[in-house]
Amino acid sequence: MTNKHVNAVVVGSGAGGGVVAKELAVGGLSVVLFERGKWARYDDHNNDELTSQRTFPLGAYFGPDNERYRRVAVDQHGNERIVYPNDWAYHNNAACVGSGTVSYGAMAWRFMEECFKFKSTYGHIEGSSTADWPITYDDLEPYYEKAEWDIGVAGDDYRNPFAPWRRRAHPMPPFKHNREARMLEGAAIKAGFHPFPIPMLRNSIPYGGRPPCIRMRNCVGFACPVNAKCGTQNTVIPVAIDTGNCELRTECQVYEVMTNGNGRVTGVAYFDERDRRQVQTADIVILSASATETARLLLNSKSPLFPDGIGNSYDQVGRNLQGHAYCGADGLVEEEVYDDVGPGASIAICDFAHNNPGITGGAMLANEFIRMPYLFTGVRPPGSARWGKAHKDFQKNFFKRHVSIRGPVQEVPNPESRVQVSQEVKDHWGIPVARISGFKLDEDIRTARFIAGKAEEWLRAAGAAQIWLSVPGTGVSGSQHQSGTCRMGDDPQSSVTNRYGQVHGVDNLFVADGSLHVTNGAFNPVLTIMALGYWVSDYVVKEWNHGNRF
Amino acid sequence: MNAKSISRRNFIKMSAIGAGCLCIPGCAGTPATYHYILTAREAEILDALADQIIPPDEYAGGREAGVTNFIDKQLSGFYNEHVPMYRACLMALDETCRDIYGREFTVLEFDTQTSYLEDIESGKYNDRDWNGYTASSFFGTLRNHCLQGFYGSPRHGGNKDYVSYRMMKLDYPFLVGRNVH
Ligand SMILES: Cc1cc2nc3c(=O)[nH]c(=O)nc-3n(C[C@H](O)[C@H](O)[C@H](O)COP(=O)(O)OP(=O)(O)OC[C@H]3O[C@@H](n4cnc5c(N)ncnc54)[C@H](O)[C@@H]3O)c2cc1C
Ligand code: SF4
Repeated sequence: MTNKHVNAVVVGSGAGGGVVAKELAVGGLSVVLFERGKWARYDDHNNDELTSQRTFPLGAYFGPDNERYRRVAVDQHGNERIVYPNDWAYHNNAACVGSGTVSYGAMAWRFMEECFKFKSTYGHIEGSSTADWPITYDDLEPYYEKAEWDIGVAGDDYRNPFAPWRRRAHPMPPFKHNREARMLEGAAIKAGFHPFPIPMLRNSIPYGGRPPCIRMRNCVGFACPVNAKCGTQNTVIPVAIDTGNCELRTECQVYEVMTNGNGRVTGVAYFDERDRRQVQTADIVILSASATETARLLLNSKSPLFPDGIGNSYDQVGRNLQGHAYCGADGLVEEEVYDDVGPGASIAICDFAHNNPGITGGAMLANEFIRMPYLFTGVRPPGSARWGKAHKDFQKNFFKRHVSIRGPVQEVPNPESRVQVSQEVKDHWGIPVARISGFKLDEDIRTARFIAGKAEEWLRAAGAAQIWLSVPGTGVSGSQHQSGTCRMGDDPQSSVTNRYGQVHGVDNLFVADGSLHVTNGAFNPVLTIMALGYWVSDYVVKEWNHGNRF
Repeated sequence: MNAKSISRRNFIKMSAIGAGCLCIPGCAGTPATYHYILTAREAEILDALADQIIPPDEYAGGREAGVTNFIDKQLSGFYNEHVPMYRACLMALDETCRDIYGREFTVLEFDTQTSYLEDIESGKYNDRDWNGYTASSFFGTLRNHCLQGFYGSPRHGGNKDYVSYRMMKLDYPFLVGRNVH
């Protein structure tokens, strides 16, 4: 049986795709939203750290599975190995309806104005492909607001003197600090910093027909038992389905974007839940499969007109892969600061996100989410015992006296950090898998060292007795913050899409996910990805309603 | 599960029952457990290793908390690919031990076991052929698995009676709406 032709296919129901499906469906287009995973629920893994999306030695509960998925990881010496989703080198995010937005920590950051102008702010950096975004913060501001109100954010940016301008306050008041954050608040002020509560995609009051958060230990890496965490799966996707215009097709693995002899996209080919090959035709296709998988899809969509993959005439697809150069400091304090009020991350400063003399970029700094027991076994000052009595004693004595500050250092993009498709390795369906290679620039590490030093200052002001710094290695980053692989730009020779996420030279093909990011901000990326979902959709729907069929 | 492992399972089960018959209640004999993958001897070595990684104190150690059970259970499932490594390295660990200390690992003094493992961890025996594996990297994997068994959810076969959570003063079992705030 052939599938009925629709106006739009959206591939991937995560942060970007969920938003696009809703906006297009509400805008009157008929939509099929494809998701390779299933609906995810809380019940089956409620206290199971080993299968959470944050620490997953026994497999990531929110997908993808180790049986059908694999990738090739290339280290800095060029050694290749096959990796599975429960390996950090796989660079996983998630695979279920809502993707990472089901199990995320839900920090809801707007990028700052400088984040969109990285090159003009910091100049060219040797070895990089640094660039400004083709759009500015001002362009995206209304769409940030839309994301905040549509999906739900609790926060108070007016307490952050470095916050970018905004038209409208957050829809929900910020959360109250837990004991650790109250302690850190005084310390930050003492150090001369400007602390404020982290904006969160979690209900602090009833919102969107869902109850407020009950402040649990296991939030990041888990689904929410009371639906207080705001993801696309419990906000925009249900709205999309309720319009009657959107069909969500789960357990469907899209493997190719199809084109005709004129170079126009005609739809997608996919394997359904029973591994049968199927085709879904559409007037337009929007790829929201995440930075790694969107790039892989484009590269795997080869035809005589596109011998190297769609949108890849200038060898740009898959390049500039970036996550964040995460860094920070850990400290041990005299008094117990752990009060079991989750999710832990609560307080932040933006003093060092930009404008650090002599430094390229910077990062927001925040206290960490609660470290679960197994994760905490890896938290030790350098030189400590990794096992045995001393290791057990540390676990016992310091779990409630440990404070951790972390910051996502904005990386300078480089073209050698990239997603390609493997020539040899195939997935369960016989489709070439993503091959991830690359490195961070020395400049990223230099900034990370600077930011870790600021985290140390904060902990010192908090009276931490023992402090140790954490600075990342030079390996390629991606994982939960993966972005940049199909960046937007005005020049087709150095970008993959235009400012509206429309793939250069293929008018009815769009991208709307982390792939679009030119630089990844000094912040966690998800609210920006959602805002871009609204931005791209707004363009598509407006044009569509003017009769443009691209 | 294939025929071979079923027969091994039955065999271990039988021998465990046999041991149980000889054991008067309360004696410190081998507990009447059987394993999917591990032989009785392998399990015995692993028990000793688990107690080294997480030594007993006022709270249970790795052995009592079921770390061996956790590893056995994972080896029969998610960690299946690690079976050959465990099989090869547990025996090699014992062999090198007899070579260096003249005795089996499980009968060494606790502190001697510790220093032997410290040497393994630091790479002192990496020039020995552990049936194709490197001693220190086996130890690294073993250590991670023991910590997972002790600190992970009891549903995976370790962390008996939530011992590690009790030790860290965390409320468990986790009941939504009860012990949350
Ligand atoms: C534990 C955790 C904590 C996090 N915490 C935060 C946080 O606090 N703040 C923050 O900003 N970000 C956080 N993130 C990151 C955030 O979730 C991601 O940035 C965001 O989800 C990425 O959006 P995306 O649209 O680019 O891709 P995704 O949201 O990953 O969506 C891609 C979707 O496409 C599907 N897909 C892929 N390929 C195919 C295919 N071929 N066919 C069909 N479907 C396909 C995938 O299954 C997935 O559902 C966290 C993530 C995790 C896992
Ligand atoms: S801490 Fe709040 S948002 Fe997070 S899972 Fe628990 S109730 Fe949901």
